[in-house]
Amino acid sequence: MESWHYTVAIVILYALLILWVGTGRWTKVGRVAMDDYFKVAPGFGFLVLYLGIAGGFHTAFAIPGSMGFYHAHGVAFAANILWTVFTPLGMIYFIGSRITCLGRKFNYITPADMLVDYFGDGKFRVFIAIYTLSCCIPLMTANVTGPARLLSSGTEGHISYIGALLIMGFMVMIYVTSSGIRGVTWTTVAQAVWMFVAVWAAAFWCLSLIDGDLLTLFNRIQETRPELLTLPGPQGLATPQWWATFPVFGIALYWAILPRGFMFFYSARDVKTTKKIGLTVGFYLMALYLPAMVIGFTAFYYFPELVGSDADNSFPLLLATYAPAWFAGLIVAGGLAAGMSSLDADTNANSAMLTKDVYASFIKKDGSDRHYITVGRIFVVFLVAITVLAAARDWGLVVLMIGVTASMITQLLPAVLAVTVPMGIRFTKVGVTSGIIAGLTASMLTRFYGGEIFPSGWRFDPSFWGLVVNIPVTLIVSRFTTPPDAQAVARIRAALDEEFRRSK
Amino acid sequence: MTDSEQQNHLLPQTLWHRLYLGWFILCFLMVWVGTWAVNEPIAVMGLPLVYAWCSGWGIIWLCGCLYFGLKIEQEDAASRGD
Repeated sequence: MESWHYTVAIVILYALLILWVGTGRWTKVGRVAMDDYFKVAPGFGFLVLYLGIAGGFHTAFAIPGSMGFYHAHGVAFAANILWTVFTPLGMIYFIGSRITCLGRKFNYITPADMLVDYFGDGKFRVFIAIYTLSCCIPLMTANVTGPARLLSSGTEGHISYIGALLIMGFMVMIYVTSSGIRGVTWTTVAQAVWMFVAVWAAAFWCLSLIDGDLLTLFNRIQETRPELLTLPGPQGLATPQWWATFPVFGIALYWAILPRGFMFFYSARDVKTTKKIGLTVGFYLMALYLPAMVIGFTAFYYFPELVGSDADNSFPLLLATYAPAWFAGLIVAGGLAAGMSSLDADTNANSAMLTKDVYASFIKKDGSDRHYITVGRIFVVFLVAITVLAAARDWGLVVLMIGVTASMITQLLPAVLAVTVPMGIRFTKVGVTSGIIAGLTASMLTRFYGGEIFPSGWRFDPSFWGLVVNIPVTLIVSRFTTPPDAQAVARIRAALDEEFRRSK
Repeated sequence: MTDSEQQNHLLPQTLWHRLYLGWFILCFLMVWVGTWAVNEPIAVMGLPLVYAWCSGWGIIWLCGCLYFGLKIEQEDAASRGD
């Protein structure tokens, strides 16, 4: 047997495991209902949802993207510690638990369900759905690109990049159409465990490769490129402005309010479950990035000449050159796990939005749940096909679109806060819509023309500038426009008061 | 507690809520601002100082908020009569 055969054998083993987990009897449910396909009506308990959220939050950026980032920018990567803690303790604990509360009380299925229940239905629903969907396709694309490259390099090109994309797409298609969010969550549990083991195993292998310990690795980096050990990094990325805004405005604030986040929060058994996950999932998220540093620096030590987007290939190259084939297979499967665990969650959430917010609201309003689930499955196939096609084309465009995605989703934050966190401030449908449009315009202008508009000390993350414009526009326009239905506001408010403001 | 405090869910309601928020802000500032004060290529247990600082404060941040969050849970359970 040639060495790449072992890699393929382990990847096949991983694929069979995931298909078994994603379509087994534990993913089946007796009743045919949208609220038990796109989300879990009875709710998941702590452990399953914990690993589901943990795996879903770590995208292909965890493996192999983070290693490439360390290779290129060194400890600037530590900025990610800000979001891996901020998102759980700030967003999941505080906002996610409120989304769970309302989702369970009023049986919401999509993010738009919650927003239109407060602000009023109609065109606003389709605006939110299309707006959110247009953000998420690039994100799905990004999640398959890195792992597909990893699989292709790990098999010495015997599985082509396109072939790798098709394998991942096909697997996700099978278990999401078969089992909806149950398949997504159970596979993500397995994937979260696999990627965690893979990345730590890779770190110990890297230390054995340099025949030393952490200090040996540190000293070798200090001898070759000391800029990797301090901010702003060798390419000057981590300026104080970047450090101050990217981890919070560029990641943390939007990561938890992605549609996949809503589906997980809606699928929690109760508010307590979401709160506990918020308090603890940061340990998992952070623990994946320590070994990533060891791997990234080891890859730099062996391949310092790689620059630009080639730095992302440093870890696959290290594996292909030095790792035993069976071990490379374990890591390649870990990379697939990282990418697929987010791709499947996004596919399910986006299919839910297309089905509930567009098809059931505007095309066929009186269909049965069985009919809508069938339509949802067709949308799953459609979304996976688009993702694979996009990933096969221009990667540079995808990278650009991921940044745009962050800015777009972040602009939904005032609307989400208006519903979930009663503050005694008036928010209206026209107000939040105007804020979203103004904020998006501002963030796009700063993303593409920021270098010309602002002096160097003012180059904050575009999502930050978007919110700087969005919030005042939302508040000002809301003062002069029709408020939401008072009964709906009072009903939602009462649900939140009952859960979060009991008299002490 | 005044009516406006009761109505505004942004305001922390009890001592444990305030401690959670205070700890969150303190640790956030230590990672966000404090890192620039330790920006030197020095090894701490083999890790770059910047990385050790951020990870260390990240863990302190998580542990502290976990503790305060569990206290909030206990308080909630007591008020429910569980």
